[in-house]
Amino acid sequence: MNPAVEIKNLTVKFSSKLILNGININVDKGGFAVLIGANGAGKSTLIKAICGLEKYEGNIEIFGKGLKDTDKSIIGYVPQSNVSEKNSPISVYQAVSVGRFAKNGIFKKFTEADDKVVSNAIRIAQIENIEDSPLGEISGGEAQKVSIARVLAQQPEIILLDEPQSGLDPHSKKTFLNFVEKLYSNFGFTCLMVTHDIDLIPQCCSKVFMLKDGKIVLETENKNIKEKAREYNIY
Amino acid sequence: MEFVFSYFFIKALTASVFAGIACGIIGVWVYLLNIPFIGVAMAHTAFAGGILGLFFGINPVFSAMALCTVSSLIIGPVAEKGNLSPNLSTGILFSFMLGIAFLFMGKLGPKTSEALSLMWGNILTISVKETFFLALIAIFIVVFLFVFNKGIISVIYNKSIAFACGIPEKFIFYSLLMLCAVTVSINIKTIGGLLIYSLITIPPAAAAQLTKKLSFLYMFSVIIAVCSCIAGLFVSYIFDMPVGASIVIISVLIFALSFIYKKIWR
Repeated sequence: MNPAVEIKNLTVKFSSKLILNGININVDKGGFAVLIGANGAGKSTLIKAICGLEKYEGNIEIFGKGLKDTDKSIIGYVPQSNVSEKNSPISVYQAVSVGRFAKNGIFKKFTEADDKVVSNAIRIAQIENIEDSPLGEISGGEAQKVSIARVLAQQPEIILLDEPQSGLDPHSKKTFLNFVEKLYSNFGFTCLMVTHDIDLIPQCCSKVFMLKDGKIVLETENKNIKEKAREYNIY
Repeated sequence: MEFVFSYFFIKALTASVFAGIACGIIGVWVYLLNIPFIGVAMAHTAFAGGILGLFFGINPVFSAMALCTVSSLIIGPVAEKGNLSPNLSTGILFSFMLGIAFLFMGKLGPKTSEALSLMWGNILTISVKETFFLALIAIFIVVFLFVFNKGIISVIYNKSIAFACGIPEKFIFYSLLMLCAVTVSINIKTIGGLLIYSLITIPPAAAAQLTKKLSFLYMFSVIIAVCSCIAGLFVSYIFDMPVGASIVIISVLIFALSFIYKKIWR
């Protein structure tokens, strides 16, 4: 069976600087993989390349198909920062609906069934109280939840989380992690999460990739990698 | 009073309504996508296009529209390929077009005064053909808004996310730039190359003081733009002032009132 995400010999350059150098990773269907590394290691660049947001050399396959031939609505992307412009009048409900627009295409009528999916995603993300608020008026933590709700409304097969806990206080980070774990166990999507904090590797994680200076230095199924992180001096 | 019912005034009034609708909607996109400089750059591109039109004996509105459309189609891709911000690429375009405008203005000879009138415009001189085009563009913008509303919301929410999940964000964004270009250029004779930027920027900014809902933002922005145009027309008639300048000053006054309203009552 084809892996959900298969990356072969991926290289990303910014001008002449090598950001990712010959990356080879697989994420199994239904698996929860974590990509860990220090700031500047190239984690976010890798996630962006999978989303098609960065130019790359090499090969990225999603369920055996090249990225260009893949229906992008099956990939849900939660970026590192979700803070909106202060003047954004887009409501939380409209932002979550973007997930439905991606799933159905922008010309299909927004039906009652779509409304139910959006409302359900909002309920699961526990943001019903801010449903009508403009994005410019919500906190960073709430914005992350909105982004998760949008991805839930999109009903993707793969979710890419780029440091979803960034900007949250330590307590909120743990709460958010539990929330992601709960979603994963309930919905069974394939997940690739980026973090620089070893303590934020969830229990449900099935594979860890350690990234240093644009290269994968370790691939392991063992979540207790504090020793290894020290050994490879990734920070 | 007789003038108010004159052919010129009714034609100008009709043009004001359509100019207000087009600028009100375009302004919301420019405001929410945070690309205010695009209005300035397009205004100067339209001005350069108008001068080129006069130089080559073409209707300046149409030459302005052609140059603006081409420029809008270049800005986005150039910014992307060169990894520049849209504001930087529009800044370069702005300078280049200003250079072109003044280069050809020096060669215009007796037509120089006509070229200068493109800077501040005069809605009273608009032709039936131009009013018809203005109406057509305003209607097209409204239809575009309704047809592509989901895509527009997605792009305003986050361009990268829209792209990552397969929404045709480039098509939407470039279309918005192109519509902005066409709106600015068609208004060059009515509002003027220098003042049209204000009519794109001020109404949405004033509307944003009154509401935080997207649908109301569109509505208020259009109402403020239309009211500014109509009131400007009357004020210019009553006080014998230039129309374009009256329109812009009234829109600024509406912004000031909205701002005060927000500070006191909200």
